[in-house]
Amino acid sequence: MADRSTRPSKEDVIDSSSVIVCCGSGGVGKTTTAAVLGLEAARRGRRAVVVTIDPAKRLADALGLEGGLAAEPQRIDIGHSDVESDPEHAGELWAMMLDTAATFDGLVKRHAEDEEQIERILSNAFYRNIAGALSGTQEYMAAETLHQLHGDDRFDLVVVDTPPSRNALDFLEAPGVLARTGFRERADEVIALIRAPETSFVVVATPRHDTIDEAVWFAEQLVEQGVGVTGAVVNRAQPAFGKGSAESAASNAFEAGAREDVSLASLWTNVADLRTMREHELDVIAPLAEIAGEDRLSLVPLLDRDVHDLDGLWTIAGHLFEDGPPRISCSE
Amino acid sequence: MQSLVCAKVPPESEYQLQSLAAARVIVVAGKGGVGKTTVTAVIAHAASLAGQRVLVVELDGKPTLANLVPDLEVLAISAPDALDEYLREHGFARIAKRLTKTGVIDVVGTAAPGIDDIVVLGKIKQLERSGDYDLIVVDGPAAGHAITFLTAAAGLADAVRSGPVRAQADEVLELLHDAERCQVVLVALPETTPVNEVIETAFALEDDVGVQLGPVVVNIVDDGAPLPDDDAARAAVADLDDETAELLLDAAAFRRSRRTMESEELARLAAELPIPQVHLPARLVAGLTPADIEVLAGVISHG
Repeated sequence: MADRSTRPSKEDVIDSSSVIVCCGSGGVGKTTTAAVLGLEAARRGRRAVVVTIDPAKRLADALGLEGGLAAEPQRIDIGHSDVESDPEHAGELWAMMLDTAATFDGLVKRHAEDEEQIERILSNAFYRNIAGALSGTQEYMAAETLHQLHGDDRFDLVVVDTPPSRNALDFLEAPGVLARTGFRERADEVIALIRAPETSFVVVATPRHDTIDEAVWFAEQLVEQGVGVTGAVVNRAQPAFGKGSAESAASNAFEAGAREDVSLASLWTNVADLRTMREHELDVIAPLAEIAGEDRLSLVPLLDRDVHDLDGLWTIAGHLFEDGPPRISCSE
Repeated sequence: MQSLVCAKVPPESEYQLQSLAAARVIVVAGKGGVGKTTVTAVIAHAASLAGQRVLVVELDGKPTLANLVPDLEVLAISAPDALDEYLREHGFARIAKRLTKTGVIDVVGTAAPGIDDIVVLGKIKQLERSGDYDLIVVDGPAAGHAITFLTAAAGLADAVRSGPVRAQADEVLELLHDAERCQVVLVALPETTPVNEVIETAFALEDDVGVQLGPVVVNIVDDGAPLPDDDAARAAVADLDDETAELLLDAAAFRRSRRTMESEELARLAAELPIPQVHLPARLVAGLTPADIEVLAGVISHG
């Protein structure tokens, strides 16, 4: 079992992991987080490949790629001066989208005994049915692709964005399904890879009850399985405006209103609204901070625009790494 | 079947429960995180207040919905259970028992989306046919999955020529294609990516499924009181210390730019998707309670 008692910094995780798995419920920004981790890793000189399983092609959106990503890894021009100006330390960012049917065919081709058997299996209607059916859950394919990319010399870091799932642990359980299909040896390898100390798990959430509950539940499962949570990212958190409370802003608004200073009253009311949201959010986030450790939890502030291009990803990377994101403090 | 492209409905906001609950089965669909469950609860609560017999259906096995609408009947349908029930009702009780015992039913349920979805839709169709409810609101699957969920019937009808599965698929298709019996309500947020996804999903659903689309519900729209513009704000903070002045101006600038983005995205949605929009205002909380659902239900009932 990996010793996870030491506390690597976020930069250490980026520098030393060979696999990073981002998990969390749908719509919390897992794909964006995975892309940002890959981007930062590339900036720091690694050759990272980001794999998205999300059928909504959000990584393609986030990376500004027209027409979606191919099933083969594609090199992304990450457009950061640090990378371009220093070719010695230049890293690379690659991205791909899971093509489940193709992955499954590849699996058959590698494990079948001869051409004839390959042909027989691939043209078998029942196989086609099962391959198509399994592609519906995709966790299985994720595990298979993860294993493949991990062994690919072009990459030294694989960042995986697990699919939104009714059972978020399907990804971990997928090798069990693999075993049932007979590819026992491969299943053992995938299990070993998922449990290896170089594999990191980052739990992603938004500051809402439901996604935090799911993230906490997932973190608990990881701890129970002896894998542990490497980090937690809460996207779209209300930024802090000043140190005071919502209540003090509301009372300032009230006083300004009493003086008939309408503009100032509405400015303070606005601050009160934003602080009210932030205070609610910090309460909601507290259980995740507890299980992940406050020093491993990062808040990414809600931006004044949607993140769907490289600039947006760099902005988030700045919040997560360079400037140091705001530390969570529930007493604030 | 009205085509999206030719639809003549003005895309203005239309806070009307009638347009949201215009069929007996409403499937609420949208990308994860946009608030499908909230919208499901709001429509169901509003319809119940209007005197309808409402059933809420949830498919993900989480207690969220039941907590939001404590006074309504909530039915959780899971694919393995629905398949088990289907087999029993069709005289395959012994097979069902064996499949359940060996765990095969779980494998089929999670691994074969076509069968999984058709059985769930079949169960919904059965509830609709029972006549026990005026309105069944389904907290549907995520946008990407919504299309496979709803195309499952057509896929199976193509693949299977006869027998009970074919009959089931045909009946589900009939339900999906009848605008009086079933309509899909898509949910979006007023942001770029969710708007793109809802537009794509809307056209895909119309092309691939031929199902009637209800209004698009845009969730978490900032409808707070207007803020003074930058000049007025600067004048208002002129007498304050620098730190306080900056805090007030920063907060106002942040809120204004979020609002600008929201109104641009709402306008783009209206331009690209000619169906009515219903807006649900943002609540200043990090998790909704039944009280919030009541407020929002009031918005779509009277607004």
